[in-house]
Amino acid sequence: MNGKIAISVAIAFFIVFLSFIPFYQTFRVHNVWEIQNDPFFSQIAKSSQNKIFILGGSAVGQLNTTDVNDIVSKNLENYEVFNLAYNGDLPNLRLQSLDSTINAKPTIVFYGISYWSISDYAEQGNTLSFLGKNFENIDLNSINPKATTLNAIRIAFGDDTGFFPEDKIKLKNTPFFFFAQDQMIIADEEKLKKLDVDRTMNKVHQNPDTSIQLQAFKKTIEKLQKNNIKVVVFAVPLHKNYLQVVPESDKEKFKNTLDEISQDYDVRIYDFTNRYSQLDIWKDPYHVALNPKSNIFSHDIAQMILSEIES
Amino acid sequence: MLFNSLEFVVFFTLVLAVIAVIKHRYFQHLFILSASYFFYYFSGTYFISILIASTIIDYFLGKEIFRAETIKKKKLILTISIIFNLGLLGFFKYTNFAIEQFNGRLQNFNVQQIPLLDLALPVGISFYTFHSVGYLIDVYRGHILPSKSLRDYAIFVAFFPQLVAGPILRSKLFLPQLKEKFESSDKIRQFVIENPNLKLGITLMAFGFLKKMFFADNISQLPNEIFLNPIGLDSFTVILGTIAFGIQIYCDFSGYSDIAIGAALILGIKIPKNFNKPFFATSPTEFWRRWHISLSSWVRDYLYLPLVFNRRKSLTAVFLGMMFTFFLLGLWHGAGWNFIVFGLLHGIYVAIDTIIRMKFPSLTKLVFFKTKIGTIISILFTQYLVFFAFIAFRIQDVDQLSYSMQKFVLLDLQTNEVLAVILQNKVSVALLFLFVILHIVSYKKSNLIESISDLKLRYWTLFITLIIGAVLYLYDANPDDFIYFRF
Repeated sequence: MNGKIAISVAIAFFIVFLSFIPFYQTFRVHNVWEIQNDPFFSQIAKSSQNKIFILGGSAVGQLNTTDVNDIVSKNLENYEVFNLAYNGDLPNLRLQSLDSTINAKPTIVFYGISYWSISDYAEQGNTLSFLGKNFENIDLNSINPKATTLNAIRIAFGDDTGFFPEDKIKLKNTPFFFFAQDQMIIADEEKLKKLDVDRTMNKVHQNPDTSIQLQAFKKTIEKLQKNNIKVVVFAVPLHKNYLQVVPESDKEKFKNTLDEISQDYDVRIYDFTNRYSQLDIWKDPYHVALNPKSNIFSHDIAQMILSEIES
Repeated sequence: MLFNSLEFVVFFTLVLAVIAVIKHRYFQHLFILSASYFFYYFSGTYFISILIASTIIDYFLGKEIFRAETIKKKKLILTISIIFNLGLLGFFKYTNFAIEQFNGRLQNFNVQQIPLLDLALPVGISFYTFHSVGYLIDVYRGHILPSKSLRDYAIFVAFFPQLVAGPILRSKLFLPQLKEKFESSDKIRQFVIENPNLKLGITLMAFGFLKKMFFADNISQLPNEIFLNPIGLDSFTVILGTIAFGIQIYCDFSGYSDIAIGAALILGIKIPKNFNKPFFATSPTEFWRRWHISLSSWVRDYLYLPLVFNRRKSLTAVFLGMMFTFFLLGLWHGAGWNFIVFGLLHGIYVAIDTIIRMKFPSLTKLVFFKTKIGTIISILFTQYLVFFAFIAFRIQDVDQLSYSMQKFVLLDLQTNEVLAVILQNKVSVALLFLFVILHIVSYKKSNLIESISDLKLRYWTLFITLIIGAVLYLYDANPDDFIYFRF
């Protein structure tokens, strides 16, 4: 009888896991960094305009690309700015779409990073290659059954927009980033105090000798330069509350890393980290709000682009 | 090693397989002890040395208490052993808290601050310390004979299903089970995996995983978001966060207890239940008879009753005894003022409840409290008090704590924020409702788990499949730790 019970439990597990595979394949939430096959790249490649790409994560995504584009195109004929930021960008994730980015033939690429970008906080895991060819591209760490189920529920209720719900706003020339209402609101002091200190310290911890992200970042620069694409790096701005939490040793290491990159790859670095730390322009401690009062960030980025193109 | 990890599933399956193969009781016991130490090593690495050392010392102290010829000598050895055990617990758990308080007082006097010690809390020390102290007191009182075998005593302290987060075991219930004899013969029974135990144990474990991984882990984002910084939030949002936290911690801890009790049962060891639908308690006293039963009964038997036994008719003695007991019970949960507030609040509740019962015994016999509406009012009033105290359990920051408590009591009747929070956390809110429905069902049908385990094998398999499915399909890639692991 014990054997029968054990077999029953094994069958229960088998049925559940077996049913999950097609469910996952049907409803899985595509990761935001899986942009390499997006039609944006092939469409933009045909354009005769000089293309300026801005890469980065959500901190870069918060730029008002329309404003940046207006300022740049007013001063420079035949140039167009595209903001290719997506949530949670990391250099090793960006590498996956780098060939598509290069094939779109940008003239210059601006890459916005910060402490967390090269800290190895989020490493990519192993693949399920041991299960055979069909699973080689499934990243074990990226399988999130809950996200898959929620996506299935969303679709079942008629919302087929997948990862991006309908109430989100999309700016022109910002193909991979969407804005919810709260991303446009400047937060008050109380909300800016909401910071998970332990998590933040863990997230910004710099270890340049072993950082996989730093290696990927350097590889990205090398690859772009090999394809005659000029690269400019900028450190995204942060609020004073965030900067208070970042240990001084990590700030120092990050600065040294940027200096090294500048020397080794002859790359210009713009450091916006502290520039607006005291201003009232923030959505949260690490994102400038997309708000008319916060346009200083977009304007400064536009000026950076102009000075780099004109130099 | 967390119960909700693949490592535990593999570990437990291997333990069952080996136990099924080993037929000799001596080797079975050795294997269970080794497996328990391996389980602990996996969870707490070098802290295993403290566990083993305290086990050996307590084993011999138990023998010495028994051997001592005079009461005075017995008392002396018991005192030494309690100081040793509670000293060890206090050192690891409360030293830095004490230093912080001391430094805080000295701040105004411009005196050099004492640096905090680089201490980590050994996993499960709060639980196994209480196992040992309970055992030593039972030996002192003559309720049990000291264990003749160090191996048996070590299994009692380190038995892996309950080692890191309880339930707190009683030696007089556990140790005899290692020496039980088969009904049919004089042979001492082994760890035998028996059909009814296996089915009931798996059902209990399945319910435990459902509570933890389906409910607690998916509800947690609601209180986490609300209590990250509650200052500025409206009353209904604070109340929603409090209800969500209360249900989260219940599902988290009772889920852990169910897995532990189920795992032990599969191995043939019976551990009494640790939770009994506490959200249906009709008074604060009853709540503690239904919530973390192994802890509340432990403090009752080994702390409260000895404190007030000779003065149990005195209202002052009862009140002070309750307050002191619950102060320590709060502190047991963690080194923080919020836990002390949690304990004292419950102390006040239970003390007032007890005193009212003592002073006005006729009140409790009122017919109104026996009616349906009376019961519902009692439940709601009790749960209002209980959930109010949960705020202190959840929030450490004093300003945030006082703000939230104020909002919980003095309603501002604003709804904008709470509606936005509900819309952003639809799944968590839906799970709260689902939990309430299932909790009512389980209250109405008191032996639900037993009924399910008695189902025909094919229906039972279907049921287990549904639970595994529910757990897997809402499994978050980054699950939360069990809350009581911190204690």
